[in-house]
Amino acid sequence: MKFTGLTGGKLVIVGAYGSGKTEFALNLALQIADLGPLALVDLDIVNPYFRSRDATELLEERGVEVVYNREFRDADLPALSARTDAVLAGGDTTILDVGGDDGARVLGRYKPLLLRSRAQVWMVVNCFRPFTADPEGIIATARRIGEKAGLPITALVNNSNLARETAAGHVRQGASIVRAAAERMGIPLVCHCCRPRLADQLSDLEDELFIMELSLFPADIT
Amino acid sequence: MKVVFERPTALTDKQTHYCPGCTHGIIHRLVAESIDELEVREKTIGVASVGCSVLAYDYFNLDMQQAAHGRAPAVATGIKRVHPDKVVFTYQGDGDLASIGMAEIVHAAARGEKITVIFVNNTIYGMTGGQMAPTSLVGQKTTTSPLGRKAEHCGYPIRMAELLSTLQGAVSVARVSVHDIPNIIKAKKAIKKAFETQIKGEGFAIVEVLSTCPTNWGLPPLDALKWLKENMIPYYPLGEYRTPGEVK
Amino acid sequence: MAKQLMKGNEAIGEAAIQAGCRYFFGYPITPQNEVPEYMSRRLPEVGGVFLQAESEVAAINMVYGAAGAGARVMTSSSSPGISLKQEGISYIAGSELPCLIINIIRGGPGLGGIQPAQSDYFQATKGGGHGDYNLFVFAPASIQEMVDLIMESFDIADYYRNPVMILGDGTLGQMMEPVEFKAPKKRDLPPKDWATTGCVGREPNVINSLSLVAENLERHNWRLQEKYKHMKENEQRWELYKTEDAELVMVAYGTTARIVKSVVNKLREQGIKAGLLRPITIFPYPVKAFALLPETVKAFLTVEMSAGQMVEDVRLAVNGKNPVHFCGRTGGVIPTPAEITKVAMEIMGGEPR
Repeated sequence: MKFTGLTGGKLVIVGAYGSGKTEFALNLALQIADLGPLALVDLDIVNPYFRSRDATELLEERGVEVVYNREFRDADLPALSARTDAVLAGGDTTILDVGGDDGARVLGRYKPLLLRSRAQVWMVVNCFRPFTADPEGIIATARRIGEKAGLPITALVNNSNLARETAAGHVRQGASIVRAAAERMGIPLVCHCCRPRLADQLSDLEDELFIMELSLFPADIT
Repeated sequence: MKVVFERPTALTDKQTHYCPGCTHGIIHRLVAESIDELEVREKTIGVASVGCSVLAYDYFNLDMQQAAHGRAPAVATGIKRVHPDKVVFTYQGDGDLASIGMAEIVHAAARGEKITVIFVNNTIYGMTGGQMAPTSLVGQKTTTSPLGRKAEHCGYPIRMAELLSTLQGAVSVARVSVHDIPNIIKAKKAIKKAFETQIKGEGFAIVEVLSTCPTNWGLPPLDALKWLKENMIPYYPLGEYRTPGEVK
Repeated sequence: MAKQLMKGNEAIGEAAIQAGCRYFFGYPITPQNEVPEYMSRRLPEVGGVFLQAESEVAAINMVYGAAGAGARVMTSSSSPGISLKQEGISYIAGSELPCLIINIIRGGPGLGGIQPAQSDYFQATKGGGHGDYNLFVFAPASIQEMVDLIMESFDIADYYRNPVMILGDGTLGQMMEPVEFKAPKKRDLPPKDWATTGCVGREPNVINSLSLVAENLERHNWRLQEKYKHMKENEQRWELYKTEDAELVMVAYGTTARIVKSVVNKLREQGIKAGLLRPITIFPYPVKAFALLPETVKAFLTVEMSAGQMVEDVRLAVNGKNPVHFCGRTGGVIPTPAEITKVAMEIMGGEPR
C-alpha cells in the first residue's frame, strides 16, 4: 500500500469542519503503526469533543505516541504541547491532526519546521458536507485552508459519507467529484475512505481504497 | 387665528408624571420638535430605559420599545439592524447609561451603531429615590452617600461625553444643558443634529443633556437650575466633543 | 435538497435560516461556537445580519429589539451564557416577543466544564428568570429531529408570541448525522401588527413589560397563563418505544434517550419488559403520554445527565401510582448502558413478580 512511503515523513491532515480528518488520521495511524516509530499530534484547537486525544489509550497500546497537552485533555483552552516542536524536528513518522477550516491557522507557528521537513498536506473531503459539495467548493475550501495554514495542499482524500447511512453509491459519487477537483488543482487523489461493510462493493475504484474500522461516533447512542 | 405655540405631533397629549420643575419635560419636547421638523415621526422607533423616564413610551407619539435597565443601546441595535432605514433613538438617564449600561453604550458607540442617544444626566438616581449615581459630584449628598460622595471611597464621577468621544465609531458627541433659555436653544440644535447624523447614515450620535432633579436634590426648581450651572457645568464642560467628518 | 452530513451546531444554523430567520445575535462560548461561526458565514449570503455582541446580556437584548421590530431572530449559547441571558428572556416573555433561544448545555454549576450535560432542565422549564412565565421548550434527540423542531419553532414562537428554547446537550451540538431540510406543516400565523416598524397610518405600537398597576399586571399574567394552558392542551409531544407490554418504563430525553433505547433492547434480551417514554416537549411536559401507558407498568426509571431534575416532573405525572426511580450522571459524564442496565435490573429484581 502506498502509505509505506510516509515512513520518516511529516504528514499534515487538514480539511473543512467535520470532513472526517480525525477519523482518517486515527485509522491511518493504526494502519501504519507497525511500520516504525510513529507520533500523532493532536493540533485541534477548535473542537471540544471527538478529538484524536480521545483515542489516546488505543493508540498507545499500538505503540503510537500521542502528542497533546496532557494536563488539559478536556480543557476549553488551545494549550498546545511543547512536545510538538520536538516531534516535528525529530525523525519519527508524524501525523498532524489539525482542526477544521480556520483551525489550520495553528500550522502558521510550525511553518519553518514543516517546510524544512517537506511536510505533505492532505485535505480530507466529504462531498456531503456543506461548502464542499462540488469541485468549486472543494477548490475554494482548499485555497482558504492553504492560506490559513501558510502551506499548499499537496493531495486530496475522498471521505464522502453520510455516517451510518452511507452506501457504496455515496462513496462513488464523492469519488468523481473529488477526482475532478484534484485534477483541476493538479494534485493527486490519495484514496477513497470507506467502512469495512462497503469494501467489497467498491473494489473496482481506480484509486486506492482505505478501509476505516475505527469510528468516533458514540457507540452507546442508538 | 394664528397658532403661535402647539404640542409637537411626536408627543402624545398625556400629562407626564415628571415632578414640577423637572427638566425631563423640556428634553422630551426638544426631541419631539426635532422629530417633527425632520418629518420622521412615522419612521422613528424610540427605546425607553429604566429610570424616571421609564414611561417615555406613553409620551412619545411613535413606536416605542421599553428596555431592561442599561440595555437600551442593545435593544436599539436589534431594531436598527432589522430596520436600517428607520430612525432609532434611546432615551436614557445616568444610572441606566453610565452605570449598569456602561458596556452596552460603549460597544454601541464603538460599533458606530447608527442610532441617536439622548443621555439625561442629573447626577442622581431619580426613580429609586435619590441614590448616588456614577455621575454624582464629589461631595454631593445622596441617600447612599449621606455624608457626601468621597472620592477615596467610591471614585470620581464619569464624564461620558469625553469618554465616548475617544471612540472612533462615535461621530457626533455633544454635551448641552437646559438650565436657561439660550442653553435650551443650543440643546435643541444639538439634539436635532444628532438625529440628522443618523438620517445621513454618518454613525453613532449622543447628546448628553445636563438636567436637574429638584425633588431628590432637595432644592426649589430655580435654585436647582442655579446649582446645575454652578456645580455641574464646571465639572461637565458644555460643547461639541465630536462632530461628523472630523478627523481624529 | 439532498441529504447532508452536518454537525449539530451547524444544522441549528441552517435550519433557522431555512425557517426564515435572518438575524443572529450571540457571544462565543464552548460547546456551541459552530452556531455563530456558521451564521457569520451564511447569514450575509441570504441578506441577513450576524452580529457578535459584547456580551450575552447585550445579545439577548438585541434579540428583544429585533423581535419587537417584527423580525425572525435567534440567539444561541451554553449554560453559563444562558444564565446571563435570563434577564432578557424574562423581558421577552413578559413583552410576548417571539424568538428562538438555543442552549447547548455543558456541565455546571458556575463555569463548570465543557462536557455534555442536562443540568439546565429546571432553568429551562421552571422559569430561569424572574416572574410567572414559561418558555416553550423542545428537547430533540437527534440532529434531524433538532432540524425539524427548529424549523417549526419559529412558527410556534410567532403563533404564541412566546420565546421557544431548544435544549440540547453538548453531544448533540458536536456530533454529526445526515440531515435533510423539510418545510414544516403550515400554521395559521397572525400578522405581526404589534411590531414597532414605524407608525405609518396607524396608532403607535409599544413593546413593553412594565405594568405599574397590580391589577393590570395580574390580568396580563392570567392571560399569559391562558397561553401556557393552551400549549399544554395542544402541543405536548413524546415518543413511546416498546411500552405496549412494558413493566419498567424508562423516561429520558435528548441524547440520553438514545442511550436508554439501547438499554431497553438489552433488557428485553434478558427477559425484562422495558420500554422508553421520551419527552420531545419538556414544556409543555408530555403528561398525556403517561396516561397512555398500559396497566402492566410496575415502575419508572428516569435517566438524566444531571443530579435529578426531570425526575420531579415524572413523579408529578405518575402521581404516586408507581415508584419512580432515578439514575443519573452529572458534571459532564455520560451514563453508560451498563450502569443504567444494572440499576434497571436491581429495580426489576426487587419488585414482586
